[in-house]
Amino acid sequence: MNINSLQNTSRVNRFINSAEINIKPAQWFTLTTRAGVDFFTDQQTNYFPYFTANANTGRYDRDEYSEFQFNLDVIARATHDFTEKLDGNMVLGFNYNSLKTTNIGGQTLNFILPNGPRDFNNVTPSNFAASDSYLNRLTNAGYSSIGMAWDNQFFVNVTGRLEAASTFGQLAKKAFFYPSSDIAWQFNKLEKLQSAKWLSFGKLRASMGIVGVQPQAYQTATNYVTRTWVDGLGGALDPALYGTGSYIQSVNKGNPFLRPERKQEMEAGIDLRFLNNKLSFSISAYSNETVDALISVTQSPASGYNTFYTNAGTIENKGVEIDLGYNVLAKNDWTLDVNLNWTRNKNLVTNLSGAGSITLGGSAGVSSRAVEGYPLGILYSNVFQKDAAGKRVLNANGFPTVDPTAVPIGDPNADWRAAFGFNLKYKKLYLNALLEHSQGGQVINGTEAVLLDYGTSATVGFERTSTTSLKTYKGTTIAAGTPFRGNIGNFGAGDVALDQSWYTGPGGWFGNVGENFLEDATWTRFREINLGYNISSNFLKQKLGLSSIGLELSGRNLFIISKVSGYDPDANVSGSGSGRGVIYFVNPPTKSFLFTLKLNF
Amino acid sequence: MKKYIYGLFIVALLVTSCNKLVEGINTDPNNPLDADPNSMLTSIMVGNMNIQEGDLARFAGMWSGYFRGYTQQYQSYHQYSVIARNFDQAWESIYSGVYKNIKVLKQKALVVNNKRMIGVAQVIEANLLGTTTALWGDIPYREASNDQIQSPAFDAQTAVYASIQNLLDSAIINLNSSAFVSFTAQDIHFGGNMTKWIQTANTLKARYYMHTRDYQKALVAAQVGISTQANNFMAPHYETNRSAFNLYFQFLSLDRRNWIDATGMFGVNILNPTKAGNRSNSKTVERARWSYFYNSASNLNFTVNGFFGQNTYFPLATYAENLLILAEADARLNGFAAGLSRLNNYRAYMNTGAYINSTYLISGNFKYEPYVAADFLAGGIENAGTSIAQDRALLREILEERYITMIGQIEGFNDLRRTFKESDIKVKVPLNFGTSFPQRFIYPQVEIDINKSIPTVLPSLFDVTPINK
Repeated sequence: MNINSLQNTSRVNRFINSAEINIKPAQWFTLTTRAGVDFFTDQQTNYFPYFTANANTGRYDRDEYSEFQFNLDVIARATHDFTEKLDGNMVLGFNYNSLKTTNIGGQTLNFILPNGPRDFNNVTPSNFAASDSYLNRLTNAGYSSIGMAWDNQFFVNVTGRLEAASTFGQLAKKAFFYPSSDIAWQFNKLEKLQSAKWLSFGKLRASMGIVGVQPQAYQTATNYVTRTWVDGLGGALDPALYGTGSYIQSVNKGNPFLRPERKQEMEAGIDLRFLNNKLSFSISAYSNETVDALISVTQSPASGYNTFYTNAGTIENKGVEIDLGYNVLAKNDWTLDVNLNWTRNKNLVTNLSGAGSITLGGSAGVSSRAVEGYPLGILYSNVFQKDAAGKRVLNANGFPTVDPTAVPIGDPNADWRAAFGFNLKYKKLYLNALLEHSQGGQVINGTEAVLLDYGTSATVGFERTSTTSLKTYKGTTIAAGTPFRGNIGNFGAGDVALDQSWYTGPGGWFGNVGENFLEDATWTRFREINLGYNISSNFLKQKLGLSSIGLELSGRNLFIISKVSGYDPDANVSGSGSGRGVIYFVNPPTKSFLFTLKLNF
Repeated sequence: MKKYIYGLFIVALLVTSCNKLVEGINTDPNNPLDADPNSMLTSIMVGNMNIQEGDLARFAGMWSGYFRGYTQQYQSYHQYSVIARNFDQAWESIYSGVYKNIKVLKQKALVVNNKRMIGVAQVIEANLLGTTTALWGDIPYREASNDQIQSPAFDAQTAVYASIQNLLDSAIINLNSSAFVSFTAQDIHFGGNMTKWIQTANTLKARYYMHTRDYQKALVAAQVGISTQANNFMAPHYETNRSAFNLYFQFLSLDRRNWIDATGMFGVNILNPTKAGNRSNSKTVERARWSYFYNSASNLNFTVNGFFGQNTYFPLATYAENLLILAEADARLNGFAAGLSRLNNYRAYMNTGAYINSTYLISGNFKYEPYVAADFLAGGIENAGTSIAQDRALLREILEERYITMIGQIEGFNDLRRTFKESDIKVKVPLNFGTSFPQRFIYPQVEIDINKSIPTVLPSLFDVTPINK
């Protein structure tokens, strides 16, 4: 049998078209109409032939997704020079955006003919399930901006946007206003500084603004749904297979008051270049607050719902970014630039409207969550019970006891990050490299935890013998001098035997005590190094029509220095979402060596 | 400046047209906003089956000596190591899933004067919340699933049991009503047969009176309870489709192979005819029943004929349970002779093969001859070893019979906790771990996180629920 017969394909057809009409009735006035259509279809099929693991008698799924988006902008622009030094412009615009998607698919199991055609008819009706869904969303907005410039050194822009969307709740305000403005002063153009040789460029800038994110579609009413009753870690019962089929009220509470979430941002900074642009420095400080954050808020199930999608949260970010660059060498054919960059971001979930905690990623025992009063992504897990004095509560056998209620245990967010790089050039040969450092933050090593459970971690691969008799977690006694597999531990009431019963209990992954496996996520990484050479010559150009040939040898992610062993603390089981800091059999970022040949025609 | 004023005017114009464009297109094209009561009924029934037969029953079974959690999470659970979050999903299914929809259904059925459907919904509700309060003690009830209340209060366990009895009384009145709109096709338990529903309501009344040790009322209710095996309240399963299979089968055979077995567990050992100390005697042969529940010393029987098999109906309330309620209540209230006669009724039923799959009913593999008074006297076959009083010996045998009959059911765990203090007669299931026996399930994390009415001191797994104090 061909091992390549397992096939998962995705065929995308895309059609993008846009047209623009510009009318310029006067020198100072332009009217632009821009319309665009973006249409695509994605045909996905998954084919698992007979004898595939988990689909022993075959499985064939097919999904057809299509998306149609229409966007229209009508923009009027006017410019005016008020005086020789003062000029201004004004924009008035209207935007209309419509999105329609459809998704139709089928899933089949248990082929009638093992090698039959890839067709939904190759299964009995009870092994066929269909799915279909539609989405229709509409947004429109009017906007206006006014910009002024004085003497090419002082700039002010003010913008306002009024937006309405179909996804707003029927009892919410109909339209929302988003103002923004920015201001910049290029002060090296001051007469006094124009002659200063040491300063080549200087700019002060500040901006503030509000941007909005509209709610998801169809969240404004409580629906009735066909529900399959899922059984814990087991299977499921589907009412569609009983009686005449059923619809019941959903666990998601509809919200007629939905409004957009808004992010209020403020930023100020300074950009400086000195000594004929040899030395550059910039610093920015920012602060933003997301208010009315759209969150699927957990409800008390006893109240009749599990979730309520609403404008619930307030999340705050504050940070500083510093960039420093220096051109060390620029002589003959040599150039050398070095640069350094440092960033720090502080994040805090200031309000979740009593939502308790919201899962962003992880598992039942250890998760990354949004919790009021903590940074976004806070690690949440069970801990060992402690008494009022903060000492672990030990049981009669000298082992700690698990508190069944989960609490925040660690912060996966780094304190600061920095990067250092250089770029060295000699004629057409170049060498550049980048080193990165992330300071602080914590990570839960779930891989190690579950290996302890399975007894395959190196840390339990020992036979120990104690000179005194030891209690096991299970309560049995290992007599002095009797060898046992595991370790000898001490939780404060004398030595105990950490054997299988400990590691398959609270000492391992399924014991759910995340604080056991919390590690410092600080790392320093050699992110990349590139060595290259560009060849260009008349010969290449005339005989081969090549403007240049580039050869490059690169190494990426070459080494990492961190306090953890066996994994990359920057990896993450939740992928690219907001959930951070949980490792559980995650593929580590790869180390790679590349050779690149570039032919430029 | 004029042109700017014109500009502002245009903006104002656009804004007013803005809202009109987006109105009325946010109605979900994928899900309806309402459904009629007949269309809701089946899902409620299946949801209740999921609770009685799913992971709560597996937790209960592991802690009742019926089976062993062998690997992964279940190894931890087996050692009584559970966290609040392990109970989130079941709790959500109970409240925001089934109970909320029962409330909605009852209101809708009332609008069309479908009294009988209200009665059926009330029986399901009693079964659902009876199990919930038995496992968790104080639970939200009066204020649960009320749109106006975000943090429903936890009602005292005794009050919940009292409400459930009232609910079942009301159910019986409604089930007897002549006002109804047919729901035969949607009633997956009894196809609209009111006699069977009324008997089920009475058996459930008897069950919950047993929980609260109100044996007199239990005896009265059981006398009009399920009168024959054909009227058993069962969760139906079919082999047509995976999501209609028995949930134990799905877990044991499809989803979590080898996570649970029976090796060394008390339940399998006392049935196993080859094991020393098993419960067979000169009048009792348990080989057929042993084969039906466990097909070896170490496995649960999830073959097609077994109790945990693919399309084996799962018991929710049965004739067998009803007979054993009569036996225990009568023995406790009216003494030895009354109890013995009731137990012998049950044994007579067992001797016909009862609920055991016919594949295992091979002559010689099952025998349940009537006991006589002497069997329970010191030195008799049911009172060997350190002897106890005759009537206590009888109760001991009735409790053990209940324990065996309820293999795989949450009721087995409820019985062990109810009789926990009666150390002379209780079924002596050894601890899996440590020095304490689990006395309840712990409140789920999601309720702890959100519900401001949750008890401030959270009871631990080993804290006895109020009715068992």
